[in-house]
Order: sequence, then structure tokens, then C-alpha cells
Amino acid sequence: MNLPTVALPKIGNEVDLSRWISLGAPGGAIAISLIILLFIIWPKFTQILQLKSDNQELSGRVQNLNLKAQKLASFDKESLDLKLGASEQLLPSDKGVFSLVTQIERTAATSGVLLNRVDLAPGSLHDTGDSKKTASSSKPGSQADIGQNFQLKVSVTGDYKSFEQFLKNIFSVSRILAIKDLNLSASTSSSGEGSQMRAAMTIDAYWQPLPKELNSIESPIEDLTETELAILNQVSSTGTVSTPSIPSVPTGKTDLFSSF
Amino acid sequence: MADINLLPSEERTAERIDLARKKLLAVSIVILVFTAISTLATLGFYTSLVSKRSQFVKDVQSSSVAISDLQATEELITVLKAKASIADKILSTRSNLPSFFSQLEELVPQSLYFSDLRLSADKVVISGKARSSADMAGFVTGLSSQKGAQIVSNVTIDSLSSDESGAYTFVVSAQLVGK
Repeated sequence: MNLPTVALPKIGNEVDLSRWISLGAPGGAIAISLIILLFIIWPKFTQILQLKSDNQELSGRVQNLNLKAQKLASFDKESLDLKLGASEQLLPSDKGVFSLVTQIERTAATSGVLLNRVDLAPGSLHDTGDSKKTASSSKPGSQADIGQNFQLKVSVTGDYKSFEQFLKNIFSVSRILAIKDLNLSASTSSSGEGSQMRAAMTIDAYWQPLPKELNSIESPIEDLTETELAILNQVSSTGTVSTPSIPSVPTGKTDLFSSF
Repeated sequence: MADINLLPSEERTAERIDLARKKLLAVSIVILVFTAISTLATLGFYTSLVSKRSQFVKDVQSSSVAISDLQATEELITVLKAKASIADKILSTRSNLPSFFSQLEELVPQSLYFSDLRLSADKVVISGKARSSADMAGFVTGLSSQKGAQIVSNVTIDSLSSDESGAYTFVVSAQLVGK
């Protein structure tokens, strides 16, 4: 009569098993939720963070570009053209060797000094500005490091007052010139007034080639400073701004070696 | 006296399992609701960010087109700024020689003249003759004065010699000041 005692535990085990299985549904739901959180929500969350920073950057770019577009639209093209003309006279885009020589000759003539010698070696006339400084020159940090230049060695003779006037005229030409290594010496006995003197000087003539390409579209437009505007306005307002035209000469010669 | 539990052990196990199942069910419901809400919120937020981003990209493109249309103006202002900026730098470092000479003239005694003046980037060397030591002293004092200090500093007498007439031949050097 041991049969019932053998059968009862078997039934109890089946009941237990079904009860344990009933825990599987909520457990599975939790597992699925965790999987969704881990593999869908978390990656999206990191993407959201990335998108937020991207959007912030894009918003800044849009703002800058809009500002730039508004600023560009606000410029008066005619006024810019005039200022560009003035800047071109300050710093020509090419070396302008012969216009400069003509300018110096005229300056010497109007000042009353005798131009003894003009000595220059400007190098290539079609220099694009890639090769640095054509002439000897330039200690680091000196004027020559700022812009492109070539040097003229000029020698004049005259009285002191005429030389002084020559200096003033050189400084009043629209093109930026800087005098260096000036040597003044009395050419005769200098005890009286109106003494003759000889002056030798090195003149740095500056020029600035046009940029070959624009900056990035997102780079901001730099405003002209007060000083820069004043310089341009000064050049525009003075009557001496026009670059002298090189006089035309008759051409055509049958004997290339005959003297003039 | 110890408690007597009359329930059979199978019943107690079943109760424990039921209790655990109920707890687990509650937790799973909470987690499911949380997951559902966070999924919806995350996807919604993500979608709005993506649409914002595409709007920004469109804005960037339209602004870029507007700037490209004004390229000629940009070229003008770029060239203008480059030239004006360099011109300003050069002019701010350029020695103003006419001013130097006009200031120097005021410091030189009438009975003194220069025979040679050498001016380099930062130094001036002057040779000349003075009628007397007083004229020479007046010249050196003038260079060292407050007015002279506007154009030169570190005034040095490199040589000074007199002849039988009492005139002095001199060489004076000095550092140029500022412009």
C-alpha cells in the first residue's frame, strides 16, 4: 500500500514547475525592456548628444553666415571701389617700377635737387609675391618684413633746403616709400648758407600683390580700423594721389646700336 | 513554545512563488512603462533634432549662396583690408625724416655745421665743425635735452678735437628714437 505515497510527490513537482514557469513572462518582459534600453535607447541617446552639439555648431555657423551675408550686402560698392583705388595707390599690386622712377624724377625736379643716380634691381616684373623680398634688405621684424618691397638707391645733389623739400615730397607721394641708410655730406666748404650737399639714400618701395584666393566662406569680414580708414581717406582726399603716367616715347629705330 | 505551522511545505512554497511572481510582475510593468515612455521620448526628441539639423543645413546652404552672390564685394573688401592693414603697419614703423630734420634744426647752434650725416635704421652719426667749445656744448646739451630726447637718445661724442683757430671738429652718434 505504498502507491499513494509514491504518486503524491510527482503531482507536487508538476505544480511547482508550472508556478515557476509563470514567473517567466514578467522576467522575459524585464529582459526585453533591458535589451531595448541597452541596444536601442542608449545608442540613440548618445546620438542625441552628438546631434545636439552638431546642431549647436550649425546654429553658430548659420548665424555667422547670415551676419556675413548681411554685412556684405550693406557695403556700398562705389565707396569700396574708391577706397580700393586709394589702397592701390598706397600699395600697388605690381612693382610699378617705372611709375615710381618717374615719380622720383618729378619729385627731384620740383624740389630743386639734381638727381645724380637712380640704381635699382627690382627683379621679375611679373613677380606674384610668392618669392619673398627681391632686394637685399630686411632684418627680422623690420619694415621690410611687413610688406613686399624693392629698393632703389638714389643719389641727389643740391642745397639743404632743396634736399629738405625733396624729403617732404618723397614722404607726401601716395605710394608708401621709406627712406633708409641716408648719407648726407657737404660737397663744398659748408661754412656759409646755401651750401651744396650730396645725399645718397636707399628707398624701400612697397607693393602688395593681390590675393590669389578668398578665405573660407565662413571666415568673417574684417572691418577697417579707424587708422586704416584715415589713411585711405587721406590718400583719397589729397590731390597728389594720382600715380604719374609714364610719358610715351616715339618708337621705331633702324640702327639698334646708334647713339641717341 | 515553538510555533506550529500546520500548512504543508508544498503550500508554503507555492505561496512564496506566487508572492515572487506578483512582485516580479509589478516590477516588469514598471520597467515596461518606463521603457515605453523613454523610447517614445527619445525617438521623438531624436526626430526633432534631426529635423532641426536638416533645417540648419538648408540655412547654411542658402546663406552660402547669398555670400557667393556677393563674392565681388567680398573680393573688394578682402583686398582693401589686406592693403590698408599692411599700409598702416608700414606707416606706423616708418621713420618720419622730415620731422626729424626740422626738430634737429632747432637744436643746432648757429655757429656749428655738419659736414656729414649718416642715418641708418636706428642710429645717426653726425660729423661737423663748431666755432667754439660753447657751440659744441650747446649742440650736445640740445641733443640731450627734453626736446632732443624726442628724436635721439644715448648721445655719444665719438671724437672731438680743436684746431689752432679754436674751432672744434666732432663726431657725435646717437640712437634714433621711435619713428
